[in-house]
Amino acid sequence: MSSDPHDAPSCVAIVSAEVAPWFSSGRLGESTQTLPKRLARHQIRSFTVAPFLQCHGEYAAEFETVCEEVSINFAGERQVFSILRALNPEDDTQVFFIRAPEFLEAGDDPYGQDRGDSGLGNLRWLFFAVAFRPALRALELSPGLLFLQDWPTALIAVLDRTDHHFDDDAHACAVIFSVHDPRQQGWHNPTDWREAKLREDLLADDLLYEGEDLNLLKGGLLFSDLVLFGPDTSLKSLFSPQSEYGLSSMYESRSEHLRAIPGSSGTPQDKIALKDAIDLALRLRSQRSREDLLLRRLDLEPSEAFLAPQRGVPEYYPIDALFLRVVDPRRLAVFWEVQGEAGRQVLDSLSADEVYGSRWELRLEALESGSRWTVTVRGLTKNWFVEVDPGRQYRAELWMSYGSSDDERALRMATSNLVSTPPDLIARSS
Amino acid sequence: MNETSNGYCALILHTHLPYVHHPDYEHFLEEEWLFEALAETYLPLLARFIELRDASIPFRISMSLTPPLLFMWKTASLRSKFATYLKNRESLARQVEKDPERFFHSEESDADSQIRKRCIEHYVERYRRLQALWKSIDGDLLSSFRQLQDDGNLEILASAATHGFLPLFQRKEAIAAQIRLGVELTEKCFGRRPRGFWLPECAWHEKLGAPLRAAGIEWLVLDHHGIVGADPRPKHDHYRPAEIAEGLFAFGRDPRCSEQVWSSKVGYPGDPAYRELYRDIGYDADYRAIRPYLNPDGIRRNVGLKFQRITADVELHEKKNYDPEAAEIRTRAHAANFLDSRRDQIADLRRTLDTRPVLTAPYDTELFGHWWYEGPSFLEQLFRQHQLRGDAAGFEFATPSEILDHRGPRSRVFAHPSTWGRNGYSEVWANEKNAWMWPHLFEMQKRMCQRAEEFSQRNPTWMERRFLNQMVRELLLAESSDWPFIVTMETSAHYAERRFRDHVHRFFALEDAFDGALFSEAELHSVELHDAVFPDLDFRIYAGA
Repeated sequence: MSSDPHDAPSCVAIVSAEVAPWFSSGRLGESTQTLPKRLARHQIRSFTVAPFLQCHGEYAAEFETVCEEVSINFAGERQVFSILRALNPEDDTQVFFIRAPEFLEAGDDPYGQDRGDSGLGNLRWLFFAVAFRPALRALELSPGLLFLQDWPTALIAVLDRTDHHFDDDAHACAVIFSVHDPRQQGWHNPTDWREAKLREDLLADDLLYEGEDLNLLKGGLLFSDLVLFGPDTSLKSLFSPQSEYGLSSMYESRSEHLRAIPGSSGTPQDKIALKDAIDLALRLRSQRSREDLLLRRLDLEPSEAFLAPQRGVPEYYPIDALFLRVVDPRRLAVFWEVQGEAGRQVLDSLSADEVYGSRWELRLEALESGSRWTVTVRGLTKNWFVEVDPGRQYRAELWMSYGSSDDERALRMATSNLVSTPPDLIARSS
Repeated sequence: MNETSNGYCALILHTHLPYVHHPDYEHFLEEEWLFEALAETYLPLLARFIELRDASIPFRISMSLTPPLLFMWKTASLRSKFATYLKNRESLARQVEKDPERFFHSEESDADSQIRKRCIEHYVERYRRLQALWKSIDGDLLSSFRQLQDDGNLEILASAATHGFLPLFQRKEAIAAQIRLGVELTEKCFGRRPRGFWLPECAWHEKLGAPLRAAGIEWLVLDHHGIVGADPRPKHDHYRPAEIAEGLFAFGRDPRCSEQVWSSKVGYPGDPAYRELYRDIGYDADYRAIRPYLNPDGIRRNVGLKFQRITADVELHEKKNYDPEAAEIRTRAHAANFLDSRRDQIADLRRTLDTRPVLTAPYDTELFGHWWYEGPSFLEQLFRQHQLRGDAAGFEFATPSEILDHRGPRSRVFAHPSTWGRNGYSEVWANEKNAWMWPHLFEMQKRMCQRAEEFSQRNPTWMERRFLNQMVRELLLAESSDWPFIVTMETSAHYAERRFRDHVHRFFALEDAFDGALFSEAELHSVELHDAVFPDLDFRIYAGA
C-alpha cells in the first residue's frame, strides 16, 4: 500500500483576517506574519490567505493580481472576486488576498463598529469563508492542512466538513483552528446567515446557535480537527458552565481535539508544541481515512468495492402486506410479504407437511360488478401480474390453503389496498 | 409573446442522467454516461445557445435539469475526470489527423479519402472548441445555463429529486419529498421558483396534483393520451393547456412534433447524411493505435469519433464515410421542414379551433447531440430561420409559462393516468424483470416515515441527524426510475441492479445503527462521500407530509 498521504502536509494554508504589515489590530496580524517562518523551521511550506480589506488600499502597489475573476454563488446570486498576491516581508512566502469590494472592503472597521453586529462586519466573514475553497481551486493549490486564525475564519472549517465534505481536496485536508482571545468573539444575528443563504440545518443549539444568536466560534471548535488556544485562554474556564460562551457541554465530547499552546494558562497535559499540534491534527484527520481503508479491506477488494457480489439486501421484511398497483388498464401488479407476526404464527402452527403441501391463491374482486376469481400462484414468489378489465375498482386477498382434499382449510394471509384501472382509451374512442 | 400569432410551439427539453459517482476509481465505465452527454449534448447545446444569444436571436426553450445531473455537474472530481476525458479525445483526434494510416487500413477512393479528411479535421476543431468552452466557463455548466435563463431565453423547470417513478410509490410523504426537494434545489441553483415541473417519465396519477400544487407548481407535460383520454375530453384536445387539478395545468405532447424529431425511421435523425451512431473508431481502428485512448482495462469501447454516415438500411460495414458539411446542410433543410410543418399544422388547426393552438414538443435533451449528432445544429437552425421568416413563420415559439400568462380557453378535466413509456403506461417500470425491486422501496419509504416521525418528536444529535439524512439519500437514490428502466431494457442491467441493491443495503445498515448495530463514523463518512446528493437536506421532510 502507498504511504499515508497524511504523514506530512504537502503545504499549509494559513488563513487569517489580519496579516502584518498590512493590517494588524492586536497580536493576530503579527502572529500570522511570523507563522510561516515558524513552520519553515520544521520543513513545512506554507502560504497565507486573507481578505483584502479597505485598509489594504494604501499598499496597492505591493499587490499583483493573479486571478481576475473567480465566481461563486453567494446570497443566492453569482458573485465575483479577484485574487491578489504579495510577498510576506518576513520570509518571502506568498500571501493571497481575496478581493470583493462589495463584501470585504466596505466600512472602516473590518469587524464592524460593534463586533458581531448584523451587517457587513458579519456578512464579510461569511463571504470570505464561502470564497475560500473556490479561491484555492482557482489558484490550483491543495494544501494538506489549514491553519485557521480565530473566529473570522471559523466558518471555513464548517464549510469544509459540510458543503465541501464530499470534495476530494477538502476531505483530505486537516484543519487546525486557533483561538487567540475568545473574549473578542461576538454573537451574531442569524439574519446575515439566512441572507447569505447558508445551510439552515447548522442553526441548531448543538451546532452554531447560541440562544437565538449565531456563534461562529462554535463552528471552529466543533468542525476542525484540532483547536489550539492562545495564551489568554484557560480551556477549563472557557468550557465551564460559568463562562458566557455556552460551550460547557463541548469540553468532554471534544477533549481529544482541544489543546493549548505553551505559555497559556491551561493544564500541562493540554499544552502542545506547534509541530506536535500539526502532527496530531493530521493524525486525527487521517484516522478517518484509515478507518475507511480498513473497512474496505475487511469488506471487499478495492477493485470490487462497488460491484461486490450481493450486498445484503433483506430477503424478507417482518410484515404481512399485499400491495396492488395498476400497470395499465388491463393489468395489475401484485406484491406481497407474509413474514409478519400474524403470518409467522400461522406458518409456525402448521406441520412441515402442511406447509409443504400448501397452495397459495390470490383472490381478486371487482368491486362494482362483484365478480370474483382466484389465481393460483407459485410458491416462493412474492409478486404476480394479473389481467383485469379497464375502468374498474379492484381489491385482492392472499390466501393459503392446506390439508387434504377431504379436509382442506384456508387462511387469509393479507388484504390489499384498493385500486382503479383507467378506462381503455381505444375502446372509448371506438 | 405576440398576441396576433396564429399559435404557439412550446419546445421542452428534459435533461436527466442517473447519479453515477465513484470517487474510488480513476476510471469507472458508467461515469462515462455523463462524460459522453457532456461532450456530445450539454456543451454543444450550450455553445449553440450562446451563439444564438450573442446574435440576438431569441430562443424560447423550456428545459428541465434534474437534481442528479445538477449534483454531478457540481462534483469537483467528476469535472476533473471530464477534463481528462476531453483532453484524451482531443489528443486522439490530433493523432488521427497526424497519422490516419495507423487508424484506418481500408483502401479508399480519392473522393472518400477527402471526405474522411474533412471529418478528421471536423473532430480536431470540435474538440478544440469544446475544450476552450469548458475552460472559459471554468467547468461550471450550471452557472452558464443560469445565465441563459437570466438572459430571458431559457425557462428552467424542476423535476423530482432523483427521478422517482411517482405513481407507484407507497407513501405520500415519499412523493412529496421527491417533489419538494426537486423544486427547492432548482430554486436554489437558478435563483427562481420554478413554475413548471417535469414529471419523471411523464408519469401522471391524480394523487400527484396536491403535492405539486403545494410546491407551487403551475404546469407540467403529459403524454398525448393523458390529455385526450381525460374525463371529460378537453374541448381543444391537447392543443390548449388543460387544468388537471386546482391551479395545475397540463400541456399534452403533440404526436406529430414528436415523430418528426424522435423517430429514427421516419424522423429527421434517420437521414442518410447524418452520422451513424453504431460505428465508432473505438471498435473500428487498429487495436495498437487506439489502445492508448482506451481506459486502462484496454477494452474496446465507443470513444466518440465516428466516421460513417447512416447511408441507408444496410449492414454496418457497408456504411459510407460521414461528411460533416453535408450533414450540416441537411439540418438546415430539416429545420425548414419542421417550421413549415408547424406553420401548416397550426394554420389548419386555427381554421377549426376557436383559439390559438399550442403544440407541445417535449424531447429528451440527450437526443440532441448524443443520439442525433446533428441535433444541436438543427435546434440552432430552427431559431435562426424562424427569426428570418418573421411574420411569415406563422407561429411563435413560447414557453408554457408564457402561454399560461396569456389567458386563453382552458378546460378543467381529470387527466388520464399515463406515461411516455412503451404503450403509454407503467409496464416498463413494473414488470416481471423488475418486480422484485418495488417491495424494498415500499418498506424503505414506510421505515423512513416512521424514523422521521420518531426523531422529529425530539431534538436528535448531530450524529443522529447525519444517519437519518443519509438514510434519506439512500432511499432517494434507490427510488430513481432509471434502475427498473435499465433492468427492463437489459442495457446495463447488472450495474442498475447492483446500484439498487447497494442503496437498499446502505439504507438498512444505517437504520440498524439506531437499534445498536455496529456502524462506525468512518463508514457513515464513506457512504456520505459516495452518495453525495442533497448535502443540506433535512430528514424531517418525511415526517407527516
